[in-house]
Amino acid sequence: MNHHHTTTTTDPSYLALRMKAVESLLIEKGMVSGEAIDAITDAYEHDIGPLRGAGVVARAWVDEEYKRRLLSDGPAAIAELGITGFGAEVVVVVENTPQVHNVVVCTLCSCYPWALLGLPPSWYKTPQYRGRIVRWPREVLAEFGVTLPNEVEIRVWDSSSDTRYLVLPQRPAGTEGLSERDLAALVTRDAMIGTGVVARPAA
Amino acid sequence: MAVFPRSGAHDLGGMEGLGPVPIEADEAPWHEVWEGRTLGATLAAVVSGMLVPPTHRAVIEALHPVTYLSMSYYELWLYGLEQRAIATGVLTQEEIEARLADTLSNPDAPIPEDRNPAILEGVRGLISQGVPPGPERLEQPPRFTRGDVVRTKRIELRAPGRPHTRIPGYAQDRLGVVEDVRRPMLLEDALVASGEVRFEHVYAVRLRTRDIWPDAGRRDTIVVDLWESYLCDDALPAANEYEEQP
Repeated sequence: MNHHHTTTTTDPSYLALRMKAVESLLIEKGMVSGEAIDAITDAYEHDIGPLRGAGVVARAWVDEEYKRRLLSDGPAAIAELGITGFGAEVVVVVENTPQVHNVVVCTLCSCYPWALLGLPPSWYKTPQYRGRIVRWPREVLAEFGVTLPNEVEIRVWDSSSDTRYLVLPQRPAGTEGLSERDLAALVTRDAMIGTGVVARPAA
Repeated sequence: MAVFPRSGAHDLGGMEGLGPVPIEADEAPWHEVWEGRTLGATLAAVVSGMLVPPTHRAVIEALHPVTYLSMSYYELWLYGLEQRAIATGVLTQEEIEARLADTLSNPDAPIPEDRNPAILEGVRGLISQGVPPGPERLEQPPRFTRGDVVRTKRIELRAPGRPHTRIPGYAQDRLGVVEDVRRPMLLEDALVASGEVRFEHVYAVRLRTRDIWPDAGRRDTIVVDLWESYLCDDALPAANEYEEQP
């Protein structure tokens, strides 16, 4: 029995036809165009995803001055790497330390830094995640395979305003010799939400 | 058991009984083609200026809680798109139902051909440049500063003329500390209530999780962005007294 409301209870083929009807009406009214919709779906399928955020993290790991700028003025610092756009207009980057582990949620809706991480994963939008991470962060993080010592403060950032958060994960030990590009390849989407940590690369 | 008001089924923070987070590995941006088209059409309609108030949030938050919680994310987007097209006079419910009936009986009918360079350029700009975030400064300086202890208000949505708010239920009527001052932002409460475009100072306010749920981790905290009108300075302890509380 499936208790998760992660998928609709309405037949997807019905919703597909309903959307087709709405799309055709809005085209006739001059409010949308098929090619504009194609441009958007194409961008989020191919161009805008977690690799952008991973590049920001890797730069901050190798360049202390960049990290300082990133933590004090997120939008300007990501723009240095050519990252701007919808869902990253007001970016705040929060840094994990041995004392504080940051994790991001939007309890009221599903706000997420689209321009840095792409579209949110399904779990981020579920009542389960939105409802539980603020109150039982350790239990929820354990479901993602993350276990933190009790002395660590878990700081949950609830995206209630236009601010969009990116977690700067801790750089794993044993990565001193890696290039910026190799470091970026280690950084997962979940580590930048705070539901993951960056693992030490396999030897 | 924590007792605090919820603004509706969407106000989920701290809800009991939800069960484990369903985690899917290697997920695509969407599972069905129509989901992407719904997102694309909504952004295109933003560019065309169709989606003025009511806001998407206000529309979906007005749904019955059972309906809200049974609809998927993109189903809520589609519902929001339809309702806002109706609210702004672009479509009528009858038009939508009639076209839906045509589409259900003839699913392979082609979508009208179109080219609209202005909308295409507009969505490219929206994706790559985003939405201008409003004024950097307001005439009135921020009332609070980093490190201030503040009290959050109770925002009663059943009060007349207040259909929407951005302060979660768990964050209401609490003591917290200003962690940072954000740039001014549009107060969606006022936009939804009366169409008023009002920018306010916004503060990242740090709450102690155990002040809300006494069984929470001793060190754990929540930081929530709150507009200035959600905050007051009634009967505040000094910052050092607040920090020293066990």
